[in-house]
Amino acid sequence: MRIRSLAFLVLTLAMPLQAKKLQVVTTLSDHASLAAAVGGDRIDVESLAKGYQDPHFVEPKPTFILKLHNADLLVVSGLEMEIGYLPPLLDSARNAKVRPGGAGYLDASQGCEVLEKPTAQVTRAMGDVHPYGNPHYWLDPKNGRVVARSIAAKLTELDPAGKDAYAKNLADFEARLTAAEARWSKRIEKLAGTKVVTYHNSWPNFARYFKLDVVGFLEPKPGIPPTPQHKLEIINLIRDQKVPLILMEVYFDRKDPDFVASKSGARVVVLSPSVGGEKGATDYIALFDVNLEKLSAALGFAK
Amino acid sequence: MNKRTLLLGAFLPLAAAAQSPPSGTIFNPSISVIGNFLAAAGHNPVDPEPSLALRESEVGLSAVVDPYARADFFLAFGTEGEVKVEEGFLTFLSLPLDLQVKIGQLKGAFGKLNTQHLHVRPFADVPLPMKNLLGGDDGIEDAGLSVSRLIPAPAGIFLEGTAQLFRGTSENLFQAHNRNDLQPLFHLKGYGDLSEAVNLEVGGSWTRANNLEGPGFRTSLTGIDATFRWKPLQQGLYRGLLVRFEWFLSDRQTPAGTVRADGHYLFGEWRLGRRWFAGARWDESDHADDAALRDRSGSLLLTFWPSEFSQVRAQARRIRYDLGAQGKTNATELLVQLQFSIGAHGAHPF
Repeated sequence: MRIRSLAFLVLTLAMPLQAKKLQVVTTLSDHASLAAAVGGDRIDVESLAKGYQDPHFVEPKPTFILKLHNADLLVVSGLEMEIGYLPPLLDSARNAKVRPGGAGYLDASQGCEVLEKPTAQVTRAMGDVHPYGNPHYWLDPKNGRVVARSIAAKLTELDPAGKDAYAKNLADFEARLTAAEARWSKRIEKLAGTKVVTYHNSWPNFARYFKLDVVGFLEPKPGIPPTPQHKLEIINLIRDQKVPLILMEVYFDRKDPDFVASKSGARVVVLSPSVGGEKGATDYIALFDVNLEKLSAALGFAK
Repeated sequence: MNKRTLLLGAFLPLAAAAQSPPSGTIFNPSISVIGNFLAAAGHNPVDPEPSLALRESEVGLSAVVDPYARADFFLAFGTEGEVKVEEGFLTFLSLPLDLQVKIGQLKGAFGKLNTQHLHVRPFADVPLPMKNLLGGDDGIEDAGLSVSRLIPAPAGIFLEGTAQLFRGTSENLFQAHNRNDLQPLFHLKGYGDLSEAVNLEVGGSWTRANNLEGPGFRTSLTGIDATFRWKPLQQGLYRGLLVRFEWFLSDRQTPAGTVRADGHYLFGEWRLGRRWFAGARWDESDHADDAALRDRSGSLLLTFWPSEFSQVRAQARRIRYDLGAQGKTNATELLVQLQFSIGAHGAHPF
């Protein structure tokens, strides 16, 4: 009895000593995966968007306000990817820490190589363009490495006691990523120069890293669904240039890609643009594994 | 389309790229302009809309003021050139006790419809209970202050209480005769995700202020709202359902006694595809000054979004107006609305 009481007392006293985990919220599942890799058991992390939904059209659900209210760190993807839902959520979150400019706000695009930054005036005649560049930068593993480092630095700043743990976790992650890159490089040799048409312009970073050649988009302009005229142009383009693959994101309707494929002879490959978009894409590295597997299978490459 | 809170960052016509805008412009507010054009055909002997009208042009200006607050202005230009500050308020963002305070010209946090600017509403017209019981198109819109707080609730439930205090003057509804005629308003909002695709939102509202009958005569308004949403995340670009119900009760003091009138509307909108929405609405409402008179209306709607920044909406509407001793009369109309926005990218509707 006495021992049990003593044990209870010790446990009770010890509880406050156990540091509260940092609450991390990300907008995208990719950044959540990177944060989980770097933060380890010192953080709880959750992403607002699921990997299988269009990251441009996340709904501002009030329950997200609660998550942001309780967050110590918010990692946004940036480049106006969240402009349709995050500002009103942050205004209601009553948490100045995670507002832009706050100590707990991290724009993960900073330091990343962003492609397609407009150099001339942009207008919405070009569709739903992003004036700060193509926001799908996380689909280049090199940028994933940059994001992981940024998150580690930010976590260290917010939780200096975890400095060594974050450094070790980061080093472990980078080693895994380096090993994966070596593995992927063999695939890249085979993929190099493969022409593809993609549904939305989500893949410039992915295509550059994996040496794919994006020759067209099913959307005539970003955010505008395929028109009959444009589909015809794409069918002709695929035939003329002998494009073997049409890449589409998991959240688009297959009807148009399937139609274009049936008329042109190309194959439709559904890729996961984010972690969790497909069953096997359980973390940031697995995301590329799954997508490469699908590309290789569609092109008939042996493992 | 663009919702009122919205607008983030400076609106830069040129790509931010590597260029640094001059410091004189970098702190400029984000600017958006929303045009709301309405064409009406058919027969309405009671409350006809003009055949063609740029019904409203709304200019939104928004920026962070300092480390403590942000400011939002929504200036509405009407058909006759009249301009009004629909809303213009300061929001304090980092107050203790999880409070959020807004001060300025505000829309009353009364239910859903009253909080929505004209262009955010998913129909071309104004439902009958709004017209009959809340004074017209804009409802409770007044100078005052608003304090809201997150209320602790079981995990996954969002609860927010809002208390507002207004001067007590809203067009066609309330009239303050002296400084003591202040109008308190209370709103409680609850929201829960039933699954990742399904959620339910309910709210209750109450307010009271001096009405247009003269000093000492007051109107109490009570409201209940409920919204059901279904949107499968992976197919969210193509499928979705929103069903909303709002009920209003008005207790209006008059020299002849208190008139108790009620009204409601039920609205459903189904997403047919990436750019198409179909909707239906049923509304009915007593007259605030004579509860024996009850108008009823049914509408069918079809909305096409060419892009995120414009929409065309057709609404076929039939209203049965109750004229009391003169009997009842019908209005059958087709409303076609064109809305378009330029400037800062707004928040998506929810």
